[in-house]
Amino acid sequence: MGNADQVTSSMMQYNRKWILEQMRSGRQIIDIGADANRATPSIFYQMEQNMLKNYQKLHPEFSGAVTP
Amino acid sequence: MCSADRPPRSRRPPASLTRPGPQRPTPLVYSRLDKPGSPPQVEQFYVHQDFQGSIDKLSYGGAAAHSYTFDAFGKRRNPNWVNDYNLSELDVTNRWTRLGYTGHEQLDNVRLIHMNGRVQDPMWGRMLSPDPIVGDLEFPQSLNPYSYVRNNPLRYTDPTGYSENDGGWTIDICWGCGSGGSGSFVDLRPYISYQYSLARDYANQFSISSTFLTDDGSVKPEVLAFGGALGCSAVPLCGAGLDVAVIGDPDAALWEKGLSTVSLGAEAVCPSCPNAGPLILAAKTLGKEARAAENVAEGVADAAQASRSGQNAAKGPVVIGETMARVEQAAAKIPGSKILNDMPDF
Repeated sequence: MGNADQVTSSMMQYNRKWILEQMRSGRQIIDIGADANRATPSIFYQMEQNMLKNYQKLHPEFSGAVTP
Repeated sequence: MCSADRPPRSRRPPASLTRPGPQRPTPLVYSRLDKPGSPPQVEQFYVHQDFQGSIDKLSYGGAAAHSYTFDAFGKRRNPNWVNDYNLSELDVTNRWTRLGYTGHEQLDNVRLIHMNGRVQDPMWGRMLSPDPIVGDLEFPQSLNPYSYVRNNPLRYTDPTGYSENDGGWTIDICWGCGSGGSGSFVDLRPYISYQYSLARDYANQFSISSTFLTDDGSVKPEVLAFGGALGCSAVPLCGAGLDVAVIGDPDAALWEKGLSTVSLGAEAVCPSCPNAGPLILAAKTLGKEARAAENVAEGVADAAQASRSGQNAAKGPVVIGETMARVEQAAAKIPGSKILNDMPDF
């Protein structure tokens, strides 16, 4: 338990590890994109997008990402 | 105002995955100081912000009462731009607002800036804690987790403390150009509040002639029709026509998507048509909802197809996206799909 910033940081770390595991396991990643109705962008989704982008750069053989 | 901009520190999120959106500073209109006494006096100043949202001046009765200036990374300096700011000059009577650089809270006693998500040291131009968002390999400056807005503070701001935000200050919308390009440009900087980068990217793909006008130079029928339906003859000539035009033009979908992230204030009033401001908002809302619904429908259909034909279809795909409800909605339509919908109780 911690303050809001620490909780957000822990959640971000967990989310980052999770998406990395999914990509490493070879699962197909379907990115349904940003939510046009949101007033503020999601930092978690930004992180996931960056992770996906970086993983594709570092592992050109990975072809599991689908962006509708 | 300042405390309301930050997420509460003691509130614990529920165990299910919640994605707390970053907070952004609310634009200030005035600063008010209640002076004790009998009877109590109230002093009120209007707040003027510069193009990055930094507090620039406080005015009263049409005259500037106080000036604030900051260097590139947010350190206070004298309004003459020459000397360092003497904090002793910032006495209690001058502290009308604690907000300062890019609308964030200035922690003058420790010479730091509270940027909601993190704290920045303007002396070093660095954040005091690392960025939880992993950097983008295409932008090496973003790989330094302590750098402030990719070390480009004159272009970007950081409303959340977590990621930079492109000002996109070059975006103007032409009022009155629909009839042939003789109108004037109105600077919409005060009204554009968030996610400038998308709009800025799409701005390069946009031309007024391709959305307002037909090939022979006349105003498109759907624009005229929208104006007629609203009983406003000036609609094709002002910004309200922009959204209508792009909604009716499939080729302009990207621009419309970019525009949908731009919010205009209710004070956006067309000089020739006082109804234009509300019309812009209404058209934007309609277009945004239609586009969002269309995106989800198309995306889910494509994703389902891709899932069926994908090499790892047996494992089932992972669905990611912005806003948990959308992700859940999409995943429900894809058999065997997986999402991150549980999280330990941190």
